[in-house]
Amino acid sequence: MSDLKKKLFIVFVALSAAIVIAGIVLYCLLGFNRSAERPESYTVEVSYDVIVDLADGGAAIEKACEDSFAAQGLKYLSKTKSPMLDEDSLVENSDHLLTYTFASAPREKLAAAADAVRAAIASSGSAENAAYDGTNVSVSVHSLAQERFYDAAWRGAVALATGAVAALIYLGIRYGLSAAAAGCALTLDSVFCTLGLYAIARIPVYAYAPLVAASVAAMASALLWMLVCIKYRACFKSPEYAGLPVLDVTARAEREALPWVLSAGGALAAIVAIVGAVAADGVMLFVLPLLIPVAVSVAGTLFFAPFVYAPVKKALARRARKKGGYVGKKKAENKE
Amino acid sequence: MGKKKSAVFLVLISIVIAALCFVCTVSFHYGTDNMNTFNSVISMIGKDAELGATLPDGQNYLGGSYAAVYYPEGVLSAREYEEDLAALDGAERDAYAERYVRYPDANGAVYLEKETVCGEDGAPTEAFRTSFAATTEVVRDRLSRLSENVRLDVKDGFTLRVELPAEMGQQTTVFNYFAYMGELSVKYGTSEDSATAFSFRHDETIKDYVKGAHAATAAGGTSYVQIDFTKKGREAVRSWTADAAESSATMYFLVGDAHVIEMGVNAAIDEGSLYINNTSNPFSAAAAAAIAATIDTALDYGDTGIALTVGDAVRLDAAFGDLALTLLYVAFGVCFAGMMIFFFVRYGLLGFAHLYTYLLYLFALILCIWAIPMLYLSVSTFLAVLFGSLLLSVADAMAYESARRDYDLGKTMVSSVKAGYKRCFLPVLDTHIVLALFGVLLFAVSLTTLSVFALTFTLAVAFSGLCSLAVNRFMWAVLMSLSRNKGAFCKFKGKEDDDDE
Repeated sequence: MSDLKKKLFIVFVALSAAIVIAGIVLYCLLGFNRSAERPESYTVEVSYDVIVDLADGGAAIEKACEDSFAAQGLKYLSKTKSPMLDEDSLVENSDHLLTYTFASAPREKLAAAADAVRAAIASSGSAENAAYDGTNVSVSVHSLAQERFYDAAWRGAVALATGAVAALIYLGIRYGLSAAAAGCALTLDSVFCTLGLYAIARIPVYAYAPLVAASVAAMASALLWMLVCIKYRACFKSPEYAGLPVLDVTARAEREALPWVLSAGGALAAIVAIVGAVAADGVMLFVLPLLIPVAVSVAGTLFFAPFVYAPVKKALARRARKKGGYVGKKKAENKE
Repeated sequence: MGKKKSAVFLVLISIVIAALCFVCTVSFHYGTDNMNTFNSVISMIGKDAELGATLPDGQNYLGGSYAAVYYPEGVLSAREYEEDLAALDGAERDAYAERYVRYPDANGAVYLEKETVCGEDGAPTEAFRTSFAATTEVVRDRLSRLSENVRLDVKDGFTLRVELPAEMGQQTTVFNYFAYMGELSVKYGTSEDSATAFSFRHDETIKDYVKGAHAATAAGGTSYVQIDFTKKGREAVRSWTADAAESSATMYFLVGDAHVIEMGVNAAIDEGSLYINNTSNPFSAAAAAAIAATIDTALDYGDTGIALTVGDAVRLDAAFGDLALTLLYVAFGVCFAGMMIFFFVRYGLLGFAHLYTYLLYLFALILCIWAIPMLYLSVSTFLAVLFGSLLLSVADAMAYESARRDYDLGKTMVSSVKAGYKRCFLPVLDTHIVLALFGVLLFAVSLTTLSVFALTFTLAVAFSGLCSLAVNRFMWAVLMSLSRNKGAFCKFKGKEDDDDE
């Protein structure tokens, strides 16, 4: 293990530890930043009927709303126009609901804006402009407070852990205890660093986004670590490296695996970056932060997992030699 | 493989891929005045609440969500109050206005009935607040059992706004059933009016007779509701239905005064569980889940003291906007182009083998997502498809590089391909198994969006493994046999060797 690699390993471990601890503390104090879900918001709702719809499609109402919001210095997060439905059949009746959503706003200003909208609509039904005669328009200000569902989050966390354990058991059976141990350390590090960074950077998340990010971290780590394990196995079985110390063989295998890890990790990062860049706002908010688990997985595969693998492999090889039992011949030697 | 055989295979596979591409991606109008529409498979795939698009026929919108508001008894929306008030005049109008107080202030969006909700000071009583909190918990519990991406908000302090994804289906059933509040009662008789309930002793409740309810799907795909009885409940049902063979009757399950489900009985029943479905109008999975959740939560929570009515139902378009789906398709196109550029630059005309393999993988996955009811298109399933694409690309590249290594050492192309695949078969298989194990268990244990992501990912891994280990090798053999200079075909450097088979 070269000095530079040792230093990188120590830096990585220290950084990961700091991120995980800070992430845990921040999560306990503040949780994730769920502002994207609008856990608390205000809405101004204007419901109108078919007369308005036929007159101008509600354009005058929209203008009245936006003018009054601007006059009050209010900026809305979103505007939706939805057809209202019969409750028993969910078939559209002829009414519509125009909804403006605000993250937070003084209630007096919202109320003043609602009053201004009502006045504007009333005046639009005047003799000069009878377009809204006989209309049934209602303007109201609402508060919304989200109720959280915790069951899905707990089940997701348990599912993630279960899937990771099963995958690592298979890895251990096929590639040895050292590969499983390093894979386990890498997966744990990737998942907790990802969640820690989400908490520290206060990245806005939707309900399931942290679990999807953790899943991506676990899957990316599994894929990248498998690429390294494949090279480990190939090198340990190769007659070219027979008789070399364990650490030398692992170092060579890691060098051979490096282009694969960087290519696969780079491709995954490119996919996430492209989808996030060419995306609507909501999609971008969900996808671009997934660069974090990808980066953490690549860094962990290069600077962390190999340094867990090598000592474990060395110790297991030493134990096998001490036992003096049959440790198996390389396939190439057997053929000769 | 002979050249003629390879050419025939190539033409056939190209036709199949072209047909799949057409069916999966192309929508068009046809017939007199273009009255009919052929909707592509991808346009018919369900979308979640955040994505949405109108079908090419312009008739239906897939995706988005439905929202409704639950109003407790004694709580009116401002709109309803104003409409009711406008219909009255004189003393009646004044009396009506006197019955209600606006909440929380003069600009409030709801009106509270003084007699049922408020105390002498005109503010909501503590008893009402407690009952409303308990009712909120019941509705929250019911929604959480749907295993869907739902949303619940407390609106204006004393109403509940429920949002259900459109792809779930049966929203009417869910909205109406989840508004049923009260204790669970089980009755038996020839009609609901004359039916008799379990007769409890003074220290008994319905929980001493009914254990719980849950929804399930039979092997044939029929959804049903299973209601489990305790020993006492089983004995009571047996006693009730002892004469059912002579005169049939019906068993009714009610929550409060609302009839939830019923079962016709024409023979004696001596079972610990009843399995109820509706043969004339079969339950969907969502409806069965809603009915079971309503019964089970009524059993757990009892009567909260508040009755709910459904109002203000609206349909909401995609939360991310109508352009979100189109932009995802554009992003896919960019990723696809990047992948193919890499393969053609690195491996020359061998890139066509990867192209054919990838297209078969992609269309197989699209057809699965369309055909499997629980799957739909969301940002997370889209990412799962792309992750599977990356896995397939890595596996194909591993096979190509492995063969290239042997070819560069001077072996023939055929033996290089053979040796290359032999060397990388187990590593590729192991990688796919590791990721598939992860995906399967994630799907089996998790709920809602993560479950859908995991199932899509598992399918993507399965198809990736099959395509990279079998289809890709086959396509390589087919394409290579048509080439004279195999090394140049694959951009492999090494000795030229003709060893056509």
